[in-house]
Amino acid sequence: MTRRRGSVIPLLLSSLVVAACAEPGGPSAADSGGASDDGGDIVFGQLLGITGDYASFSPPAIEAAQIAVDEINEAGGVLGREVTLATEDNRSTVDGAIAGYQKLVSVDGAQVLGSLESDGIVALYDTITEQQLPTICSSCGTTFLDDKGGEYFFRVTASDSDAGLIAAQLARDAGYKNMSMIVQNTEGASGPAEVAEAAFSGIEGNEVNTVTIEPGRSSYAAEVDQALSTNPDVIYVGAGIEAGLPILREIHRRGYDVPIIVSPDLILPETTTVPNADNLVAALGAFDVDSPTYESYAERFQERTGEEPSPGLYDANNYDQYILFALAMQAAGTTDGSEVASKIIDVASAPGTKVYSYAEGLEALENGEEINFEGASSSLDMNENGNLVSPQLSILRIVNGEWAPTESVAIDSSLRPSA
Amino acid sequence: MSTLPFWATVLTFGLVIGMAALLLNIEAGWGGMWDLGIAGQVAVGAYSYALLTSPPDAVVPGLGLPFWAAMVGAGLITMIVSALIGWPTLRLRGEYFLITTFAFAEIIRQLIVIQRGLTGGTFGVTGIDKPFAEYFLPSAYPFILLGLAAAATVLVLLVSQRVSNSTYGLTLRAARDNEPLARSMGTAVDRVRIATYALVGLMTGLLVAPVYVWFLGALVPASFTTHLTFLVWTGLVIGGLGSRLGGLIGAVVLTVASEAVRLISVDPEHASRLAAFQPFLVGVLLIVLLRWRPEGLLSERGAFRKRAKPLDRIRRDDPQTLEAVSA
Repeated sequence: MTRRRGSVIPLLLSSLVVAACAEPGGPSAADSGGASDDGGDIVFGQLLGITGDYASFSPPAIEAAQIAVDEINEAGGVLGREVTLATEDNRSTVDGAIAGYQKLVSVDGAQVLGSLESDGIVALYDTITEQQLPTICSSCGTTFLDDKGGEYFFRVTASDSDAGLIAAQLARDAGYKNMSMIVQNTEGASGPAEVAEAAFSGIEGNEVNTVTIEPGRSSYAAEVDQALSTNPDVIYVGAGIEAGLPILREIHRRGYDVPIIVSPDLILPETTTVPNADNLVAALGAFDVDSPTYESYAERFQERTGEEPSPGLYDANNYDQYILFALAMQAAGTTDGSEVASKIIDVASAPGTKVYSYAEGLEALENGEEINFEGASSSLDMNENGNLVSPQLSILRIVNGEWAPTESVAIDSSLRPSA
Repeated sequence: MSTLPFWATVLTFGLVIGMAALLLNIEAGWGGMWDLGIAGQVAVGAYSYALLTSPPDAVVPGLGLPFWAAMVGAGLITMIVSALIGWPTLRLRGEYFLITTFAFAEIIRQLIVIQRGLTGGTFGVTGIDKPFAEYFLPSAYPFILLGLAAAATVLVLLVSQRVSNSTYGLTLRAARDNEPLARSMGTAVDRVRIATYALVGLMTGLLVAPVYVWFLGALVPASFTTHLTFLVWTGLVIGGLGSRLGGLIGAVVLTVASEAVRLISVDPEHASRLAAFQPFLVGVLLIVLLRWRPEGLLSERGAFRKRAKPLDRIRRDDPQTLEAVSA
């Protein structure tokens, strides 16, 4: 009995292997960007954290994606075919991203993939590259993509490097020379801080003193003492709310009255109540609200959800990525993954006729023109690594007890390490 | 479109969790060492494997060893790290042991984040060497990986079965059930427990971690959070703590049930409701199980009852034969 059961498992497994290996065609035919180019609906995949840590980001992102797909279909679809949206939950985990990705590609036949978060991007990087699936990330800031994108990976949001650069730029433009940085040693906080440190200390005459902290401590007095020992004229605090609040209070308790640049994790109502709230300043990705694309998108978003688009939730970025996919596919004239991927930077960047909707882009492409899609989130001009050349950012300060954007700013690309 | 690659991926993950649950069962089920640091052991094995196979000129440089040598190396490294962790922690009992192992797992994860030069930090390690990948289409590889995972699971099962049937396994269970009595009988309980912890480390590094690395395709510290530990524990509790096969069956049932939800087709607007159904399903599964089968799908009593039966029968039917056997 045992022997018979034991022989069934290898038999089943070998059948599966044989079935899989018996697929006709080479890698280019079978593995290029999901489903084959055989008519029927075109499937746009969406993989995001519907449950888990990133759950609060997903409802507006899904609405935004559906707005994009409706717009594409109303304009006649892509290559004359309807577009459908397949959505999968990555459970805000890496293993969830892998199972969700496999479901989207093998079951749903997704021909493009959008909305992945940073950890999922890193984990699926090799697999997606092997399978030549065009992928755009609407919310992942990981510096991993700074020099690894451009072939199958693109993103329509600022890199964490940009968050670091803008901190350095703010300090430089205000004429500060001596910065102390208090940085939490966790994913998300250390990346931007390292970029800020490199950019600021790269300016002649500037000095940086960096102090690393661990989250969850009952007191940060020693770390703050170390940070203030160099008598800085500006302080950078890159931390989560748990560590950030006691650090800000400790700085105030010592009577230190200098501007404090805080990371986006601290743009929360809790920080508006600290005694030195007037000293706080932060930078966050912003939407280009004057763009015709944004105006049209925002109206539809408000109609569907009853709420305003929110830069902190990346909904307009999610809309942009699906319009980009559709335009790139139309420009390529095929759903083949590598062909579509090769057109994404072209349709997102200058030179070309500026277009502000899928219908406009489609018309221009059909007239044989090159196009430059201006997104609802910002200009989507990309460099060769598939990163935004000049993402839109807002400077936020606490006004009347609330965080409020006070000015828009573009990154000074001369601060970039490669510049 | 076929659902087979999807199911191959799901089953592979189920087997990874199942292997970890089988090993955890040796520690916690039979040894009474409720370990909340299994994610840390898997992390040590996974990073060891990745760094041993990574080419010297890669972004995160390694030794460039072939996969089989890296598996052996990862097994030995994880065994040594486990023994080092086990030496102080196994002096503790109950919740103190539990909290300490949990803390060590977090320390390991934080070390991975901090040591960017060695581990890639939050960037992680990509370009993982997957065995035999060059011979198959990327679309076929999930099936190859499933085969490799199944083979590794068979090896873990054999080790687990060997432990359960051995004097060593009986000693482990005796020390769990009545430690003072076991000590009074001359059993070196501490040594047995450290050996168990090291054995679990060896098998985790040798088999569980490499298959998990192949499944993930890249390593990031977020893959080794408490989520992994609790997933393994949930699989073991569903399957039956202390049973021989429970951990494996529980983990596969848990994974398959969770992922099957994905195959229900809904509009994108309702995707969030469907996604929320998955943790609901797992919760219901646990509640139903704890209500009607508090020992899990399989129990320790059931697992070890079969061995007693022939002897019982002999004793009942023919006392003289029993005497002859004993002699």
